Amino acid sequence: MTWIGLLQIVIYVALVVVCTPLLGNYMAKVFQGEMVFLSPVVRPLERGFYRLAGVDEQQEMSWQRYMAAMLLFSVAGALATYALLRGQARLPLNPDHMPGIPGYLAWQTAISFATNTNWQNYGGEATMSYLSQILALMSHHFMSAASCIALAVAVIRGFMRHSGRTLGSFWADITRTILYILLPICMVITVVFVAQGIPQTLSGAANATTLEGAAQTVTRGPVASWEAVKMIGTNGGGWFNTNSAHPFENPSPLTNLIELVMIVAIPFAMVWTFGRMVGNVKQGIAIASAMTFIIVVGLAVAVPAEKIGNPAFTKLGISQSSTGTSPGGNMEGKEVRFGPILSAVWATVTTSSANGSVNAFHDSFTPLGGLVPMVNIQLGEIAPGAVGSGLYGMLIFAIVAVFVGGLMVGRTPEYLGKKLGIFEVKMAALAVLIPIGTILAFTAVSVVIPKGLSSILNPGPHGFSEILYAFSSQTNNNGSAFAGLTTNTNYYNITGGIAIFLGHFVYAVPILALAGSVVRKPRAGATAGTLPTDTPLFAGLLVGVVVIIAALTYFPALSLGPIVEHLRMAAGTLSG
Amino acid sequence: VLDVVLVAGLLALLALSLFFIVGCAALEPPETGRHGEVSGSVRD
Repeated sequence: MTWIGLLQIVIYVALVVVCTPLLGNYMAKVFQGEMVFLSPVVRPLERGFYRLAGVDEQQEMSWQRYMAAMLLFSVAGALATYALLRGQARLPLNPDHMPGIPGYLAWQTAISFATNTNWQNYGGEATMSYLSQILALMSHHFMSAASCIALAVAVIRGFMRHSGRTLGSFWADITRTILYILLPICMVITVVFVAQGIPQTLSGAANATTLEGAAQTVTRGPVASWEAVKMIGTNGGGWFNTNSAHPFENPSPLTNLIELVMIVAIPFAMVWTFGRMVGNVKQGIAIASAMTFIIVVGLAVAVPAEKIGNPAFTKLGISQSSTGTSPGGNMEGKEVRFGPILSAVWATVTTSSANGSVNAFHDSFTPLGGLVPMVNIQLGEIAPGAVGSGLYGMLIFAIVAVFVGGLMVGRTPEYLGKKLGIFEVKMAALAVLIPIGTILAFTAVSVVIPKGLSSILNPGPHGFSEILYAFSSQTNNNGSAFAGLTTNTNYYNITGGIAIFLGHFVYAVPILALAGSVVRKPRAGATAGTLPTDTPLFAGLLVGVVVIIAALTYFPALSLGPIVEHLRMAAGTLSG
Repeated sequence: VLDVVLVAGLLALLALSLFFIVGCAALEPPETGRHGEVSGSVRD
């Protein structure tokens, strides 16, 4: 690795470390209704929205009402998106005359964007009108991210409140998230992106003549504003089919760095917010440490795998070393501007964070390089995860960890002073099992029926990986595609939509039920028998629980895909 | 017809989730007792 590469990583880590407490403290103030520097401008706007919607921001909700509000809000958004996509040909802001979206594709897309998944069975620039991109899809970038953050805040309140009954107001939480956090950040970043050359226009495609005299249509649109919220909201869905590998989505090393920071900015800040709101920042740091460890392990596997490349090429005498004109390593499916290292870093970060944007083709990664994104997703994207689900996903594992720790020391398990009973552990178990069951069941069915098998482009273990990745990514609301699998079919649109729905909403129900249960309990002080949860020991226990539960659950499936593929590649029998 | 079927499918998923909320709520223990312990919890 060159010194410039190392410097980029140092700057990246430094920016994340600086942003986390700043944004985390700010978000804690916003969610506790305190004054922030934007209040003089935003507060009147916020009040106006409540008045317009007839919402009383002081009226708090039980967990059932909070969850139902989130569900109804999201499904109403999905239905509106479905209608817009179906009728886009007859609607305005369609300068490139895009036809209406087919029913199954519109259905899957509507669910995908309403849930912050943003799995795309279409190429945006060749399918969507500007109205669809902006009103039907980009609006969900804000709303779905806000509802994820709101859910996480409700879970935090469950642990911070003493003998309470309610978890806050869903309407107030999403309004504050959008007005105080997402919109201001996006407005600033959009200007930076425009300055870096990302288009921001409604003028339709440009017609250009190449140096060879050929006519070329250059698609564009309000990409800068899309890109900003796509990254900060851990949405990940691209304006263009090639996502952040496209020069209009990611034109320079600076935009690459900014986008990488934005992917993890709110997820890590959310953990800080958690520590601040429960009154002990060290609790947040312990969780952030576990998250960081998981992501570093992923980088330590993926980066060398892509940098070393394919041993079959080495045997043929083909050099994979970096030279003045080539970055070296495994360059199949990668942007030359980014090379194997930055592509592997992006793939690891985007899958451990539930962002799902890509700047390289994961299907073309080496087996181990592709294994890392897949495992990151299957762990539940908790390192640091999505804007909200990363935190509450990790808290579920923390509850399982204190339960296991409690069994070890013979004490009632408790977390943050809340004693955990049968109900809480049942809900944590349900939250762990719902995505696992969904992913494995859909994958198992798809590899035995013709409708599932007919979409595979690469038969054998790689084809299995394509299907396993597709359902892992959709169920856990990542949205990145391994690709190589034709998923714009009726079968994959329907099964994908169902998997996304189960992995987002049904998964959230036991988590909020758990929060609704612990909020009623008093917060007891720590005693000599309390398992401390703000120590490196607990962070280690947490990592162990994550690995044991999630990784071993998927080990048999991974053995049939990337692991056997790696062994065959090493043995030189992959093509046999 | 396809639109009706797909919208009905989405509403069916919504109904499933709402039913799941009711199901989880039914599993909730009764009001907490002394020190927040619930019936059946492992005691110190």
